[in-house]
Amino acid sequence: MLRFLVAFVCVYAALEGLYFIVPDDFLRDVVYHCGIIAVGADIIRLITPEVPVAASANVLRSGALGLEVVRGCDGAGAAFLLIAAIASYPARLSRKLLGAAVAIALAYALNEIRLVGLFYLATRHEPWFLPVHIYFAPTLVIALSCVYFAWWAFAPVRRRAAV
Amino acid sequence: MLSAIGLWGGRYAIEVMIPPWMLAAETLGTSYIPVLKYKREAQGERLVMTALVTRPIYVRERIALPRGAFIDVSIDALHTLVPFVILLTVLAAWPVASFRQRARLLAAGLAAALGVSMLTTPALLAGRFDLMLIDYAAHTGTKYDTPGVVYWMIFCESGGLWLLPLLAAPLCAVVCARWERTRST
Repeated sequence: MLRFLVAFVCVYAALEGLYFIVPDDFLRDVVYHCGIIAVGADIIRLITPEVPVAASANVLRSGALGLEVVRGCDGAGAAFLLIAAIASYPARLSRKLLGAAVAIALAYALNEIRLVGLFYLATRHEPWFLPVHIYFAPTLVIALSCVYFAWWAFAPVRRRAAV
Repeated sequence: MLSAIGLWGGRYAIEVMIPPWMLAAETLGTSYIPVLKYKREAQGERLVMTALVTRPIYVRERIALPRGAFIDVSIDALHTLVPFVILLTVLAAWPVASFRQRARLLAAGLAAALGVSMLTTPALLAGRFDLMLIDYAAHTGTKYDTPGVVYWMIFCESGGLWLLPLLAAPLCAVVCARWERTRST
């Protein structure tokens, strides 16, 4: 267990270190705009075509509202935690790679759901925006990430037990 | 469920935690005395640190903050509860054999939550104070050497608030399991 925790911290620190090397401009104009904001705007248009929404750099705009995605709000934290946990857990390399790929997809999907949800809260239920943004959403994302990791880590044990 | 408890009852937990946080914040700043209080404001409930400057703070030989100045910095109060909720959620789901083990684990979790919050909340406030000086230096075209607490604050904001409770939870389980083993032998 202690070996796992030490490896987990080291991998997480390495990922965070790499994350901070990425220039702000690149994150804002390429990753956040194309990968998060534009996709979020498309999802909102799909759900509510009557709501005017525009993706501008790292900001999701609708009328006077502007939701800005910055470092720490991009789902990278949850993805790094999952990748670090999967990389540190004893398993075959192929399982780790598959687990990490699914973890990235999961973190991305959860973050998009969070962003779209926050958009609707900000436009329709404004008093709930702040509690969900800083409290409920992060804890839910981490709880779901833990569930995924537990499922990934213990799936072979369950399979062996079933045989 | 823990999140909901925190939303409605978190205020009391925060008020209980203020004295130890204040103690920890005092060790982070040598030029000011921090006073922490819980405040309900227009933008929500906030944890406010009022720093009484006891020694003039210089930014490149120019006084940025004179002695006797009061500076307020604040963070969202709910934000301080995130590590508690994560830690206690993981411990509540941790597999144990008996109710007694669960109770022991949660007791260890409360102690760990205190430790984690002492490492995070005061640093978030002290980091904001120094960030204000960095902003001031940038406005005046000078440079303010970034103190370590600012880096720690950035670490906490960019995932540390999640990482620390996630590390503390299995450590609580290890400590409880070892304690049980030594008791049974």
